[in-house]
Amino acid sequence: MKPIIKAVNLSKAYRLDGQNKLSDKSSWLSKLKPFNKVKPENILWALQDVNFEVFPGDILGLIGPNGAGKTTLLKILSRITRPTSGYVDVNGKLGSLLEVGTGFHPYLTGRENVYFYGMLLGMSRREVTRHFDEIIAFSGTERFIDVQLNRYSSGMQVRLAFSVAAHLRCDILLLDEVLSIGDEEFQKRSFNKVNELIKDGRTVILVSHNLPTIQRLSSKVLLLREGQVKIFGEVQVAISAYLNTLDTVSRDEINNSFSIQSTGNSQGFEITAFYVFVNRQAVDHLVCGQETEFKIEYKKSDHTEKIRNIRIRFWSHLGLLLTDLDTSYSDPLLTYHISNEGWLKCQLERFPLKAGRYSVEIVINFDRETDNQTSYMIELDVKEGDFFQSGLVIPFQKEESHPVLVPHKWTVKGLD
Amino acid sequence: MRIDSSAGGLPGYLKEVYLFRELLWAFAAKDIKARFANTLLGTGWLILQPVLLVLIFTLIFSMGAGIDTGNVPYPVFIMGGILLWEYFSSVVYESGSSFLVDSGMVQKIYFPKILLPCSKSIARMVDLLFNLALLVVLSFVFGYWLKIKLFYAFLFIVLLYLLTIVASIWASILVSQYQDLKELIPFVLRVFFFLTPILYPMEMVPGQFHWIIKLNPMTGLINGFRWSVFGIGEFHFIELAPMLFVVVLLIWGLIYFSNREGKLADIV
Repeated sequence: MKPIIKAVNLSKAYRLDGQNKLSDKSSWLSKLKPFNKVKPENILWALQDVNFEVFPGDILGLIGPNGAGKTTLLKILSRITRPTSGYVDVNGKLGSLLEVGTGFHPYLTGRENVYFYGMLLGMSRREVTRHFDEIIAFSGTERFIDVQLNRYSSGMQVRLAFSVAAHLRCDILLLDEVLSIGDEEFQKRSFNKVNELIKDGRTVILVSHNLPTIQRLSSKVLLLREGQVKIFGEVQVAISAYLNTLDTVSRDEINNSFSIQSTGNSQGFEITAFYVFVNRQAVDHLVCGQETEFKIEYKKSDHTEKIRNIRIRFWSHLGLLLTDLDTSYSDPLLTYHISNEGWLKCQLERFPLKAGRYSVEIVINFDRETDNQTSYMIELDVKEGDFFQSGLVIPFQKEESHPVLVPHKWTVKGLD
Repeated sequence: MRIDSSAGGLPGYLKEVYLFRELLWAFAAKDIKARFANTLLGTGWLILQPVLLVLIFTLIFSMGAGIDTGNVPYPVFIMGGILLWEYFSSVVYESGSSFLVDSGMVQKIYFPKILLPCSKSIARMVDLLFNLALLVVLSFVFGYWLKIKLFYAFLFIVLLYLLTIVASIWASILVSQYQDLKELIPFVLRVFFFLTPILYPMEMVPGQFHWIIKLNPMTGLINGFRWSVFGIGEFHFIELAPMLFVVVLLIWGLIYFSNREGKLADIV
């Protein structure tokens, strides 16, 4: 079968020295010089020799930390920007949704915006008319369709925008972080819609920081890191490689705190320090079965959206989500009214994972309407410990079968 | 379709523009709707703006200077120039910053980018039509009977459109590359407002400067338009010679734009 997308040695460089601006003293000079004579420290290779093939019907998940080049790749595929070298062959009509709602005008009504946005994305006026009722029904904004957009909540706006894009007639659909918009019900609907498009034989390229979404939808995963392809292939392999190679922890020796990088839309929220306490000592590892406390020191601004919940998730290296310490259920109102600076603590009486290395993901979910989220990943070692307080240390197990321990007690009747 | 570092060339680009042609109207319609939404007077501003402008210039100039405009009442005379100039300058100003204003669209959505500055020349046609109607009304008010040569009047409006769109294309692509121009353009427009015979007739310009004033393509258009609606004096079509250069600039501009378009998303 012929690939529908084929990228060959695709590279994209950005100049960091104020390219093409008259105000820049060096620009007259640099115009005379060919590109490769710009000082190397002033060049950022957003993509470097990227090769991959996508076949009709494939669902390609695109993952990688911030700045890995995911969005740049989508921009090249959708012809918004040109590669510096290399090429891509695209054999089909391509539709892309890189940012929901760009191009919407607040003073126009929902109806006017649907027409404008649809045509901006490449539909003809007649196509928009033909799908108009479907689009509106899908977005669930029928009642407001002749109301100015600035009366819409931000959630309604993104729903409307996604609905328009979902009705694009195309063979290949590029989606950048758009499956996590709206409330849960709308997410389910958009997830089903994408599934429907996939069943219709559509090829989809999907960027998401949400690994479970990638896991559920993708048939292949491309893992990018610093502009280079790290893994291209099996979903599980790539996801576990992603979790394994995340090396974002650098320990502050004095404070025993971790500095961590975020991915996603952080909304001005920032984790300034992350501590792990085992038996009330700040340490750099966890111990199975011991009293454990996670402390998140944070800063946010007045513009930060309301925080719906905070969770600490533990991932195995196979990409399995093991457990999720989620405030949504344990303390649903905890995060709604936190001040601009402070800390949050999560305490566990006995840490429930067996010895091994785990990826710990801290996720901050913002307002339900926009469903923005930001997440942090760190790697933590868990040391062997006596979980059941029986005097026996649970040994380190390489093959991660049943790594989660549950406190329990056996009794017996009928002893000799 | 192959995507690589080379630009596709002008014929391919024009084909793409043709495929997206409906978007041109969509941009213009959006601009017009958004402009008058949430204003109390709405489209009333279309009449009020030029009326106020003519009123102010009439007050200033008719009091002191005593400009001789022949049989044509002064307000009618300047309206015949202002309506062309206002169209030109507002379109050039808006299209000059169009890629910066809508940088989100430029960076996140694929479409032939030339449609964005070009749509401004369509959106502002509403103003132009209102101003043309207003010229007729003004001349009635001042009891001056227009002697319109319809064919020529139309021709000069078409040439005005050509000049405006060429200037818009160049302004949009140059401003996005050299953003200092964003500050420079309003200034240059203001200077040229006075260097073009809008508020004064050609006869007031000393003879030795005529040739330099006539290098400005707008001079020929305004003189010609006044000749075609007021029926005064005579018009030498040689005054349209600078428009030949404008045609060259159009072709050059299209080639230049289609080459640079791929870089737009990286620089705005």
